[in-house]
Amino acid sequence: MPTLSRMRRKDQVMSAVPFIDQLAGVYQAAAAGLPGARTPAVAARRTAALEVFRRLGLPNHKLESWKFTGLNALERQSWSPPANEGGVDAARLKAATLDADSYRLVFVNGRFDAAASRIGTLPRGVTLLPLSAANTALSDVLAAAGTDRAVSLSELNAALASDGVVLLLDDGVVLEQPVEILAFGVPALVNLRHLIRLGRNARATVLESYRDGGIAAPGWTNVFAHVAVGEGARLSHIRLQGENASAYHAALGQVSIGAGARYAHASVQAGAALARHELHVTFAGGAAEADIQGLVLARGKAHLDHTLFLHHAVPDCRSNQLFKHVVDDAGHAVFQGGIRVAPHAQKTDAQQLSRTLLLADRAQIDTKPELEILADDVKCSHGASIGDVDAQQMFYMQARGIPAAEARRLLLSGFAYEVVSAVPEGALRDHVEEFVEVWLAEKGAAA
Amino acid sequence: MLEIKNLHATVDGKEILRGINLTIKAGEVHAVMGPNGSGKSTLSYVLAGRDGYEVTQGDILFHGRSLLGLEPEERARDGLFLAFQYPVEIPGVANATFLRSAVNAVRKHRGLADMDAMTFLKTAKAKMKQLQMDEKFLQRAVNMGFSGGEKKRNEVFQMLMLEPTLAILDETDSGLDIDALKIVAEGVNALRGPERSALVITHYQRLLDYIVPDVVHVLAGGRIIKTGGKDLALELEAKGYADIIADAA
Repeated sequence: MPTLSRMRRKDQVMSAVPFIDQLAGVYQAAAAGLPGARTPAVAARRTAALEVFRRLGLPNHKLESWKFTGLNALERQSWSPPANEGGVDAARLKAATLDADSYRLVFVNGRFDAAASRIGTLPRGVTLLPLSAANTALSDVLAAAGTDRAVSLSELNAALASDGVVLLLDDGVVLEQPVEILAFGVPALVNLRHLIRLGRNARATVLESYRDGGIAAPGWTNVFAHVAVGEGARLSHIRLQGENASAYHAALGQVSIGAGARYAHASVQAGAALARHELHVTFAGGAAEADIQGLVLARGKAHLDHTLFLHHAVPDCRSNQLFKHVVDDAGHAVFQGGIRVAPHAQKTDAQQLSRTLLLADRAQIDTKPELEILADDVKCSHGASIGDVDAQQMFYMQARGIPAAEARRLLLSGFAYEVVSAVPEGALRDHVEEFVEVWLAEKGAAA
Repeated sequence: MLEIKNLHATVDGKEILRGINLTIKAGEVHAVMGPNGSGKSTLSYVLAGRDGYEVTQGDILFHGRSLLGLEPEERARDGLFLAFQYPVEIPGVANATFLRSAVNAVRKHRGLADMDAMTFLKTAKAKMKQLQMDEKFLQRAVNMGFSGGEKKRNEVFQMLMLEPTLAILDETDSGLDIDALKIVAEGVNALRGPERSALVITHYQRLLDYIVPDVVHVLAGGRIIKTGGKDLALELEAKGYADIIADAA
């Protein structure tokens, strides 16, 4: 039976400005200050993108790829563009930065924060700058990712993108230091858009990190990244999502991998109330490799989603997916692993594994392999396991004097390490390990 | 040191131990021998406090205090150590990390400060040398990809690091060749002293050539059916379990 307060709340929602109109309002308020606002072609593209989003609306449960993750909560909040001022405090910045030399671009309030960033001198053949300073590349960066409802957020992003990173490497350029993209969540709708393009035989490492800006009210970070790995190039792409526990985070990445190239991706999601990192990877040339690993650390009521579409469009490519999940309390993890092998993509080798530890009765995982194999000479496999922490391992550690809580933390850390160890050794791996350990230590304190 | 009094224990509702009495004084080494299924491993797990091994009657006193109701880690910190028959593999956790956590948990309990990384490494390397173990085992995940013999050596290595007052060795000889057996036995003997005791559980007499016991017990059907000196082990080897069990019946 509906209570009076429930009915009233419903009334309020109905009388509020509809969500889509509200976002259009955000665009109106922000448009003049967005990069490229004075370039008619860019402004036209943004307006068109907003129209596409208005027409499509948010993705919903009726779409197969959004079956397990709903965005209704976004419609219950009121959204505004980020404030024009305010930075991130020094301690927060320091804790989130890589302890090594890097090309660092920091974003606060959806804008490049020059004071907190450190790009320094770039080698020849490297373009690295914030989107807000990339006048010529803007049209490229804002190009549509798709116009169906499943990816409608990327059009919202194109309309509203206030900043991001443009990284372009000429053929043969090897960037030794990692590029560090660090964004802090704020209580507003923030749209960041990145373009990463590696020329033939180029090499780079990118750390993309979304952190808690110490916000008091829910924020929504909406990210789109376009990644092109040229022939024979190598890109190591690490992504950390550690937003505030009240935040919403949605990200879509589109990756194309050239012949003989290698793309290694490790994504760790340990924050936000609701987050989805969706990655579309396409092999554009033969003999290429993709190693995609993910780790979800969910507690409280966090709902954390990794959705992957891996398209073997050409023969002779190898892909490996490993996704691990640690879910506690009433947390909910989602893994959707799509693999499509085109009819002529012979000699494809595609492996997928999802492993989950559910630590509490109300913890949940939806793990769904989705293989569409249209070629006949291929090696494809998928598997999923779901369980609790191993009782034998617990006993073994306790029998050595290690307290149960610490034994558990060590086992979870060991479980996560398989993904952590996919990150290049050294400062980067230490950084990711620390990110995981901080989450585990919070668990220890709560237990 | 250890007093087991009329110990009855069940696993999955089935009674495995049916009234064990056994007293080990400080400085003594006792051997428990018995055929498969006699309850040897159950005894070791009950002593270590494994879940699912339920004591239904009797008591176990360790340093005069009942172990019943204590968690496995509390027993370990009090100085009890079980060398597993089947050491457990722990992916992603380095042997060094695991062992340092254990050493510091035990030290904390004894009111000592944490062992710093340098001292730990130095101590660990010295013990490994004693056991002719490669130092690289410190960085490898606990027991992952170790051979049977390497796992057993790793158990004794942990024992040397933790310096227990009571070591329970559950079929530590199984899977070891004669050279490894000697090294492991030397490791165990190195820990012998007036304040330390050991309970050596084994199926074969062979290990007892190297770890010479003060007392030998024969376990069958969940009870100790015979107790004697070290010669009892030789007698068992010569006559087999069947005769001893028949004699005792």
